[in-house]
Amino acid sequence: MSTEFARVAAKFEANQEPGTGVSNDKLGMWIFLASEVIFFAVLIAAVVTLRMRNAEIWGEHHEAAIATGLATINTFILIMSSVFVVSAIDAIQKGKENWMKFWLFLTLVGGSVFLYIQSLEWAELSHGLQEHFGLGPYFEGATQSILASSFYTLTGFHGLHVFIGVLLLLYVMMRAFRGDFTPRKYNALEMFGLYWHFVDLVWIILFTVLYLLG
Amino acid sequence: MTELFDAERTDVDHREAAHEHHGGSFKLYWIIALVLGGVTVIEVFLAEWLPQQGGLGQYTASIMLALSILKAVLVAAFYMHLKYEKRILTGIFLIPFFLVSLLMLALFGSG
Repeated sequence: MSTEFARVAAKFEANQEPGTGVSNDKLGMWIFLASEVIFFAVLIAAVVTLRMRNAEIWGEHHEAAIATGLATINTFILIMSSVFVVSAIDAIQKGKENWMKFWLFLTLVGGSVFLYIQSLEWAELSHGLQEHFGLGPYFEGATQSILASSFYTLTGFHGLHVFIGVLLLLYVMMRAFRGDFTPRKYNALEMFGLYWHFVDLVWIILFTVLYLLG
Repeated sequence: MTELFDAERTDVDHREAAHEHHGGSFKLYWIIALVLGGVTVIEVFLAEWLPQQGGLGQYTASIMLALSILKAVLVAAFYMHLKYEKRILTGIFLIPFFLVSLLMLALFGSG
């Protein structure tokens, strides 16, 4: 009886949910990510439906206003930032603290450049719609173009997630420089990694739906 | 005292198990990044250049969607470590996709 009590107590001490065998933090993070899947998947489903029902005008606006060049660069940036994060986790598992900080710094640079390029994309779409169709700047244009509404909504929410990710990364970096992480204790870094990879995963789908399938 | 010893040992075991979950290696992560980059190049090629040459026609969209799903699966399996985690996490992550596929069926079925 007392041994059983000790076993259960040890699981709590190890931050492990007894039923699933997964840590509470990780279980919570995956449930949160599942809710995010619903959020983005419903938005993408709505956009695909709008696009299929307005194929002609979508195609015209897409051809005039959307270029894949910057988005392709952004795709490579997010892929690289994902590999930087797993490299940071790999480094701290091996006790290489300085390498962890280096990879995290590169992730920060990647996230920031992504946001900057995204802002250029927003301006480019607005400019393209104004030049070719006389649609007004930004949100006036967005109300008149199904493509612009879809584009700004999807990339806007995704960009917001990247921005939140950058803020989380700054917090994780602060802890990394404070020496909070050890080869056996790096939970915050791991949770941030899951979030960041999810943001990358969403972009992979958006890149195809919004940019490549014109 | 024995119980206390057991508790400490179990705690360490769990932590070690957590480490094992990570499974992937530094080299594997970079190989996956190369694959992701390569597939992206193929996608852009299919979308930008191939249509001008007659392309794959109606199959282009299906192929590009399949490629992007392949990339997403690679990220989830290796970078998010789902391949090495307990199956319940994969289930939690996949249930929303099932629900959304029902939504898509309803949307497209409504004409």
